[in-house]
Amino acid sequence: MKRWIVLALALPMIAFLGGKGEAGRDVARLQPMEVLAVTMEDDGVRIETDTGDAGRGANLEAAIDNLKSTTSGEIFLDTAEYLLIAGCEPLLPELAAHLRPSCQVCLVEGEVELESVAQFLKIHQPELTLAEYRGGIRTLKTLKEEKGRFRFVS
Amino acid sequence: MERMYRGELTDENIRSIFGGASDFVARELRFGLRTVYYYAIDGVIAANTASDYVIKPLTTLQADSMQELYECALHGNVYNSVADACGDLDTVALKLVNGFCVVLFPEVGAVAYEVKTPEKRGLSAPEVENTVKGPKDAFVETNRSNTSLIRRHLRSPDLRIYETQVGRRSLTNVSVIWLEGVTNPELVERMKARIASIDIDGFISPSAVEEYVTGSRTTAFPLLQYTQRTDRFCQGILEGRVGLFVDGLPMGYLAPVNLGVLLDSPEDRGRDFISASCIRLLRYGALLLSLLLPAVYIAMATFHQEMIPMPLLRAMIESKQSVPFTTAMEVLGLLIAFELLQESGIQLPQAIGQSVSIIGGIVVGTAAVEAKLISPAALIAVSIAGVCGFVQPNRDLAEAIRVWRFGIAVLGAIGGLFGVTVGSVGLLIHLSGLESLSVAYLAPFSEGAAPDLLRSRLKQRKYRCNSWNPLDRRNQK
Repeated sequence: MKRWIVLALALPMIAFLGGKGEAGRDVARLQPMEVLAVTMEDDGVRIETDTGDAGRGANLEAAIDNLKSTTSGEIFLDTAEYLLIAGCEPLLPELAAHLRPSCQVCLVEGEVELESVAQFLKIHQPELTLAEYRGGIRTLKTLKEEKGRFRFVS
Repeated sequence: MERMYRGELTDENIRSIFGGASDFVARELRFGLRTVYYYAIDGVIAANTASDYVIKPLTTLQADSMQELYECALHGNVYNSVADACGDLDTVALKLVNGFCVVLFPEVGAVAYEVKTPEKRGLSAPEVENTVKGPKDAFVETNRSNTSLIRRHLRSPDLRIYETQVGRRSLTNVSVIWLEGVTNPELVERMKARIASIDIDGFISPSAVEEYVTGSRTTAFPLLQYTQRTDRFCQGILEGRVGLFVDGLPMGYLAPVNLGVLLDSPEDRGRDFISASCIRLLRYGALLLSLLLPAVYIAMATFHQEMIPMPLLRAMIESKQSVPFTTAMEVLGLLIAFELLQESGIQLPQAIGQSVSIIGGIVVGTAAVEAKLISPAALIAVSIAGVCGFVQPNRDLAEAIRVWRFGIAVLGAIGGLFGVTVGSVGLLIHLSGLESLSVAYLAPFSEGAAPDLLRSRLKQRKYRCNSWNPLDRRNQK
């Protein structure tokens, strides 16, 4: 009898704790991306991914919401390996809340083709991660594309 | 046991017990003015033996009275190794169904002579617990053959065998076996008490044995260990456990049992300790994979994609793109399909069962993946879990794991890793509450001592397992 009472008390508690978590999303609906570029523009923030999706907004949150709403499937920021930023370094602490701490960051100069940059970044690592940036290291490398070739400039 | 038949020991009463059954043989034997009656059950006795060693010597007996004739028949003039006096109808009935012929000396008594038929299944190699090096004699359906096998392996005079009948109508012979001076008498008494408390019609199926001997069984986990192997059974007896034979079942049961024992394979003692230890670790790993892999796969693919390495996640997403079902439905469906395949393989004859497994497993599986009804990743996760289940040396344990695997997978689909954790903790609580003959099921993991995850060198195993609380703990110098 005692066992049933314990079970009856435990079940709602487990259900409550379980209900506090995120709702599931099936892996088939996910749109994984590897490179995320965030650019500060005059009228707000622009986000682009290597999957060809993009979003705009007055601030970062709005841009991310716009990106999520316009993407077919569900954009999955947790798979971002590289974050390219242009003129939006102050947004990094905010971005760190959306991305993995191991995501590597670098600055971008000019336009870069996101679909092909991942290959370069895999070999020539930007080295600085979001976790390290939050730890106080602020030496960001700068990526540049010239005649279809990528390189880091100091 | 309550008396089954009441009345005087007379010819009419004995005949009425079997009610004219066609295999019941009743015959009058006349010696001059005296008449005795002979009874047997055809097929249960060896007719030649009865003729040569009972009826023939009886006819040569010289006696002045029926009492004297009875005494001569009972005390040696009939040369039969077993001659038991029968005082009532119950004893006569029991003797007859157990391969004895009974001779009734009217108004004096009856004598039962053992003339069992030698017809029984011969010894063969075990079908399920195969080993490369171990002995090849497995238990058979005949109780006495099994006890003789044990006597051949354990020649100790301290080996004790207690026999009784269970089942109002099946009158099944049951033997409790233990080693005097080693086995804790409390365990023996508990086993005897459990058997004595069983009051059912038939004690003929393994589930009846397991449910009634272990008490009210509200768990899928085995609380008795069964084995077909004589060496494994004897090893259990030597460790201080209690053995049980049930006539008609080609296996021996050992109790108490705990999780550590169920993960031991008879092959462990046939290998060197290094290989055996590695295999044993692999077995524990397989147990966890079998239990948790489908649930963890569902949880990760539905709730915690960020925990999956990028290349693997990409592969999973690509493989799932055209699949119409969610990961949870896919995995749970595959688990059910796997169970159905396994069940069909058991029900069908071996040759057809193998064909069904090949068609079901390989042909349908491959076709389903190609038709994009299921993703290869889900198929692989369920297959690995299934194969890991087959690694378990005890089928009952593997089946319990199958049940819990399904439950934890459902929890994983509902609550992700939180659900898996709830299921795992629930399982742990359930296992912690189990007892076999009052010995804790998780005893090897709960006594503060390091459990025998590895197979230590036999030279170093100087003590018997403390869980069974043996009288003599030391097993070697």
